[in-house]
Amino acid sequence: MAGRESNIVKIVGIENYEKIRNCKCLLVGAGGIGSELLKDLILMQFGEIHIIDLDTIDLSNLNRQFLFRQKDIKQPKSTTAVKAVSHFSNSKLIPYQGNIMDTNQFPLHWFNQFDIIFNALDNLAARRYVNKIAQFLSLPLLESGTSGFDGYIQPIIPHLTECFDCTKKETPKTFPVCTIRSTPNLPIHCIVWAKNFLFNELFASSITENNQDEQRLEDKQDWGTEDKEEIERIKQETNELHELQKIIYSKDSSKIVNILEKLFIHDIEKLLLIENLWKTREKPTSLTLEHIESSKKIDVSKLKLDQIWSLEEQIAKFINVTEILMNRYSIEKSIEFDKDDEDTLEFVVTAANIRSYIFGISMKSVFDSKQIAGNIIPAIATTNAIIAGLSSIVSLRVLNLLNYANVKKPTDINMAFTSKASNISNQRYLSNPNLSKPNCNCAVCSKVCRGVLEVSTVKLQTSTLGELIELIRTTFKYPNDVSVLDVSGQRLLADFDFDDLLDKTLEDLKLGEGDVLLFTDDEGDEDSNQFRKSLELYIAVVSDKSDDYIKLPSIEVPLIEKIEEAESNDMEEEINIATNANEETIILIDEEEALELDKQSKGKRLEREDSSDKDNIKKIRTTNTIEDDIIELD
Amino acid sequence: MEKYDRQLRLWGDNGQSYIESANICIIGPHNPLLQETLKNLILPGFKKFNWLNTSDSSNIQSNNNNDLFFNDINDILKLNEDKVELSIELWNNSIDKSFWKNFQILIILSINDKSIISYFDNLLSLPKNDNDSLYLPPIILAHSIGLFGYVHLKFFNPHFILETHPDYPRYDLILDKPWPQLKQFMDKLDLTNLNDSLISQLPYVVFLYKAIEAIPNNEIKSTTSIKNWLGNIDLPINNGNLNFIQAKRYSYLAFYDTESEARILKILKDAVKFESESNLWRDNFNNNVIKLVKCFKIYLDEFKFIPINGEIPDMESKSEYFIELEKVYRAKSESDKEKFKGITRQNCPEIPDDFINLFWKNIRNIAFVKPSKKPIHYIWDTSDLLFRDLLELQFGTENNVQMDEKFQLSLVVNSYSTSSIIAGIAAQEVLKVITHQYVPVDDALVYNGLDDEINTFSI
Ligand SMILES: [Zn+2]
Repeated sequence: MAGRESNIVKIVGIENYEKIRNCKCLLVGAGGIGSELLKDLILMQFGEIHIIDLDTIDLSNLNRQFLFRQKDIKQPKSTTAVKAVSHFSNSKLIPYQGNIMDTNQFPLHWFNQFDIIFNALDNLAARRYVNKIAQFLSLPLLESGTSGFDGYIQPIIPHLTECFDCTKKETPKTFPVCTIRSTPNLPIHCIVWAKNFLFNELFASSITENNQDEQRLEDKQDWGTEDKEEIERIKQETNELHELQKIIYSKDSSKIVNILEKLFIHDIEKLLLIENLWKTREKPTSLTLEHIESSKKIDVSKLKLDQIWSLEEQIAKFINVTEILMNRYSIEKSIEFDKDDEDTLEFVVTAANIRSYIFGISMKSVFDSKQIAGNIIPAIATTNAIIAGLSSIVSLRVLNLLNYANVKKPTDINMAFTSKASNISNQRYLSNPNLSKPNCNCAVCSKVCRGVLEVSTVKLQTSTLGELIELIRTTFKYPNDVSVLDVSGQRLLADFDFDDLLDKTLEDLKLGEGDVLLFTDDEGDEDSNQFRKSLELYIAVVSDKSDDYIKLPSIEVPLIEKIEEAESNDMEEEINIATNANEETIILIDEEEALELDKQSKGKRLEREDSSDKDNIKKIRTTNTIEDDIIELD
Repeated sequence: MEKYDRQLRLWGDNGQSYIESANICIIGPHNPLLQETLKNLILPGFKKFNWLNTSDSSNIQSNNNNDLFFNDINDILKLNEDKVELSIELWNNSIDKSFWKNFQILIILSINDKSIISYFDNLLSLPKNDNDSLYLPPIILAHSIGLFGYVHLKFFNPHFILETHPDYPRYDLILDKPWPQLKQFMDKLDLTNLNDSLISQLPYVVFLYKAIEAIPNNEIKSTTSIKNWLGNIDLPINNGNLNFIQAKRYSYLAFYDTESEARILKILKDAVKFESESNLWRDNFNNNVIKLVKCFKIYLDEFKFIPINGEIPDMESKSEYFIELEKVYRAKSESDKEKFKGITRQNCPEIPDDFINLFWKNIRNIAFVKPSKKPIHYIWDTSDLLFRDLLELQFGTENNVQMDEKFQLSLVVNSYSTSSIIAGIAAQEVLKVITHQYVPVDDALVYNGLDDEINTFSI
């Protein structure tokens, strides 16, 4: 037996070695941690490894993602990584380029083929999604993440140990619309304005007329202010932006000056008329035509990215880059903001800086703004190597393959956090607390029962909603009064005074593969004051079963004490975050993955943290930008 | 620089320039730990390596290439498109001691020949002689086996870190020691005369200053007395005013920080003491810092207080007030710095201005790792049993192993993931040492893969 095999046989024994050879792993992410994990799992002799990544390779990956070279830039990460390791791999390797949250490409039953999942992801939304999938299917999950010198691993054994959502994660930072649109006071407010609002309005969408839908959404929007005058102004401003988009469409670069005048002179003058805003705040000073005029003398080719440019330089660069984007727009039809697309980055940075100047906020260099706008997390090879190594070794214990270190109960397994040891008195390189039991208040793994509803294609067309409800009621002993929510589409399907849809078939209701239904007991038992726990069912359409096939999960749905008001609100909130992907974007910035480290330093941080953000910011529901902003990071 | 964008956010152009000009020596056999360490150093931009190969031919045979990731050591060099130099020689015990002054760091991996340790211990025991001084860079020793491994750092001179990157920046507002310009700024803002709108836009620092000023000198001035004063003052702003709330919250920032002062003074004292005791290797960075430390002592003798670095925390404020306040603190820091530079010009005029500025800015964050005068073989005297057992296994004296038998199956083989982890940690420490940023491990750690444990201790 060659060295690699004999080593692993010595570590786990010949019987367990066979288990490893028969083990099918899913590796989600082929970035910094993913590259390292792929190598480690192959050398551990895992039988089959499926690796998924959405992204293509970028120059800034090459300082750590060692399977990629300069020539691979713009190639898909997953297939390139597999190609790079295939020469020495004894494992069957299957790459996919795609979004793990895409239910068409990766339906639930597809996940069911795996024995273990390794997360090597870069964003919160996908982490939560895979966590939920692992809960649906009871698959062990190895969660991991890094940020600079810091990193963590968390093994998750569904139902037996804490899930990813059992501890509160720092949700994406949100800002009230009015702060972004009318009263910024930090550089980030201006960057969010330039990126999520201005750039998107000008380049990301095609020209649309203000239709009724938009009107309806606007009515529902939480503006973060009660000031009617201000809300009116924000709405009007949005309409006027459609005019600006026509300038972009016209490809007439002489009109770029009009954009500047509109955004930085006329809009500011209008804002100044709303006196309420400036009672306790400093008034902004609008740009002048002289500023614009004197910017024309500047040679933009000499500007350096790591320096803070003067106002005139910002204006000159804004004009220059807007012209470039204008020409690109006529060819590309729609341009997405991408931190690595220099034109889009420079547009956002210069627009943000001009706005900062107006509001008396300090300007930032392109280099620094990029970190904020692109949600850039520092990343190095060494931390990824450490974390991936830890993740691969702990998988042996999660799969209980070390006979001499037998796992008697899942909570014997450890999670691990590295810390940069910057504080010399704190001599800990790694903390390794044992896994905890699930948090009984966790909306993902504890408050709701979960399972898969298997249904044949024909049954989907013939079975009515009423029949399905009846089946579920009798199987899981729900009372008469239940409500049924389509979680994916976020709509109510039935409750005690809404029975219009009961005769519709599941297909009529556009329910199908990947949709999630939530059943809630609205009645309870008056005597015992107990309720049947809520049940979330994932619909899996199966093609190889009889026409009449429908199968509910073999789980028990217990009775629980009445849920307190506050708690049920929590649950609603959770659902909102997961599902309202179709609503209009409300401005918010990307998540900060610093959350990973929160676990270890929370106490300290809370004490020192400036409370102003928390006190002032009214929470706005998060929306589709979570998905939009999946960017390559470790 | 785009390629290094993600890591520049950790250590900046300055740190990167140290990385790209460093010369690294690696001693050890061709094995996964060596490959992984080299990989982890080439990716972030190290460019010059010497490898003193300790493999003997029989060892190469038994170390089947099958457990290496890279077929050829040259494949690792190609991980960075920039030019990377690796010169390979076989280790021999007669290398001249002058050889070592070429390197910024020495990494000794998985050697199984104790005579290599003896070679260095012999150098260290040579009598001190100014004309024939020994230059020995910091050494990192590492090894991995089964699900276990260790990393040990050894410095022969005080190792200084200026940019320690603390999790929370520490600001000193020293409102209890006002200088004329600060007093002038504060006196202009009269709480009894300002209108409501202006009062609500005052940065919290102003409230803190007014509190300290108002508390009679015969009473104890503390965060409690500040909070009491703030609680009782009659101002036209309601309790919800953010700046006013912040004043209470950050009252601890008001006073000169005597705790920091004590910590810094101790570091300076220890550093000078250790420096005077050794005349071995000292890199340029450490050399500059130790000179500046001596100048700083002169400064403190005359001016008494740890100076401010001119930075103030973000705070809500009318921007005019904030900008002016920032100017007052910056000007104070600059004028103190000029006094300091007066001292450095006399004592060490060769130190570049940029370096003095860096020192000045980070004086509150300064840290150092103490050197060790003990020979390397003292590691066998460690009280950490696992570390000791790992050393016995590494150097082929496994009869001395005392650990539980059940571990031993895993102890005699290579586990690639363990090598990955240990190589990751070793390279991580190299990065900290070479950039002089972030505090390295002091001075040993042992990894135990059976429960994800890393124990850190000093030898
Ligand atoms: Zn949970």
